[in-house]
Amino acid sequence: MPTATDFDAAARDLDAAVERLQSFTWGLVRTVDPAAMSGSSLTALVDRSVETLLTETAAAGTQCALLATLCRQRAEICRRYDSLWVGYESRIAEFHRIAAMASPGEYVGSPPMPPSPPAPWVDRS
Amino acid sequence: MTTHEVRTDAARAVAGGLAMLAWNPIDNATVVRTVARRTHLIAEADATAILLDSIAATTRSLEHLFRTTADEAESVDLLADPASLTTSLSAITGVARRLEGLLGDDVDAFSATEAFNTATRGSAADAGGGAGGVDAVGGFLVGDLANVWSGGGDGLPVGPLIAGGIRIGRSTAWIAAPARSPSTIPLFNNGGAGVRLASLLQRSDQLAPVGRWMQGPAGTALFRRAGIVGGVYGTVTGGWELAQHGNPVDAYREHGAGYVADVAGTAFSASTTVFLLAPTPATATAGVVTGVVWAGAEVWDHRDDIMEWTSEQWDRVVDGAGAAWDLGTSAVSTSAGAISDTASSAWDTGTDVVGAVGSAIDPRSWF
Repeated sequence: MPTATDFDAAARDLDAAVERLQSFTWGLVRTVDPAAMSGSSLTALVDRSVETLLTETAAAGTQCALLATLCRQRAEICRRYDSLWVGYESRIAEFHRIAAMASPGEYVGSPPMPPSPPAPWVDRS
Repeated sequence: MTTHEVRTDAARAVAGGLAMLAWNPIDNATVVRTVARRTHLIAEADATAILLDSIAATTRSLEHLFRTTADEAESVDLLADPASLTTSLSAITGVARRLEGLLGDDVDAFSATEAFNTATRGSAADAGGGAGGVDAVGGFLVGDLANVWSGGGDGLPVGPLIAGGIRIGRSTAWIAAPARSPSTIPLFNNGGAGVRLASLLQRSDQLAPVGRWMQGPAGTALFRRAGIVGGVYGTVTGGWELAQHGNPVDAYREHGAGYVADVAGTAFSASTTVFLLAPTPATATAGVVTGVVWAGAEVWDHRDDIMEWTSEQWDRVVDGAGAAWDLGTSAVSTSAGAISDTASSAWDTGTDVVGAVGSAIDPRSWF
């Protein structure tokens, strides 16, 4: 299962993808010189292709940005789970310490329960 | 160097640029698929990867079109071999058809967003409260925006009417402005929303260049071009729909104001396109007049919906206040009558200027 580090790295990769798609848009507008086909019956086809590419690139960029947001949210949830585990580990160590010092038959309480993962995909770092 | 050679070189340069650009969506699709595998977000990222594949394929095909056109333009020799023209045209047509087919089969951006939204809906819920934003943004892009824009089903097209009203108002202001010029014609980037968006973009380090570009001459040129393309598309599709109705007299008898709204809407698209191509007070006036006719016809066509909506709102108010029912119905009929009068007045204004519109959209009067 991916950890907070994996989700953070994925978010950074997706951010970079958004930037690259932005540069693709700039490149397309700069590269496709309408004058090259001007006057031919292919002008409309070139225009339509460029419009389609611009629209689809904007949609893909938005989706990558949303996926990056999703990854960051998941990373945060994984981090919260990590900190719950740290707390649990310190409580269980304390429990073992008390249990080791207790006399036979002395009540030391119940051992602390480990935290449940908030979602199936959550894993500890 | 002849003009022909210059254009051949230009087409070859575009093809070279597109060949390099095509790697961008290919690389990004690889990144998205790798990230998806690493984070177990395969279903969520699938639509994005497919969309990026489609962008790469279209870019490659466009590159092929430019390269083939340049190659064929160079190889054709009308004097030595007149038949070579047919061969060259056939080669170019084949590539163009493939690109057209690709555009036709292309992953529609809205469909892709819908697929993305469906895939991330569960993930958003999993990720907690903040992740609802993913769902909300996706929902807005796919459904809410479309509903607001179209009026949903056969209802009053609120979005286009608002957009049309803004366009009419800005065109009127442009006609009245003392310093008119093609560079000040009303476009998205120099309107209220566009200026605010550009200013918002400029607050971000990453997006600031986009904001500056929007406000610059390159942005203005692209928005103007996009407006022309959109206008031509609206005019052609509107004309096609009108042609499906057959005989205009019969169509008017059958559909009444709805048919007039369709005709005026198409004329509005046409006159707006003409205005963007040749911005003069005459073309701007044609746009304003056709817009008013179209808005009046739409309101008149949907007068029953408007009256029903007004009635429902009034009922809510009356129920809430506990006022007498007969007071409500008398007020409903008054307000409905007022709307009906307004629509009639707009319609009368519209029909008075139909003659003017007819001459304004006549291509012989554009120049």
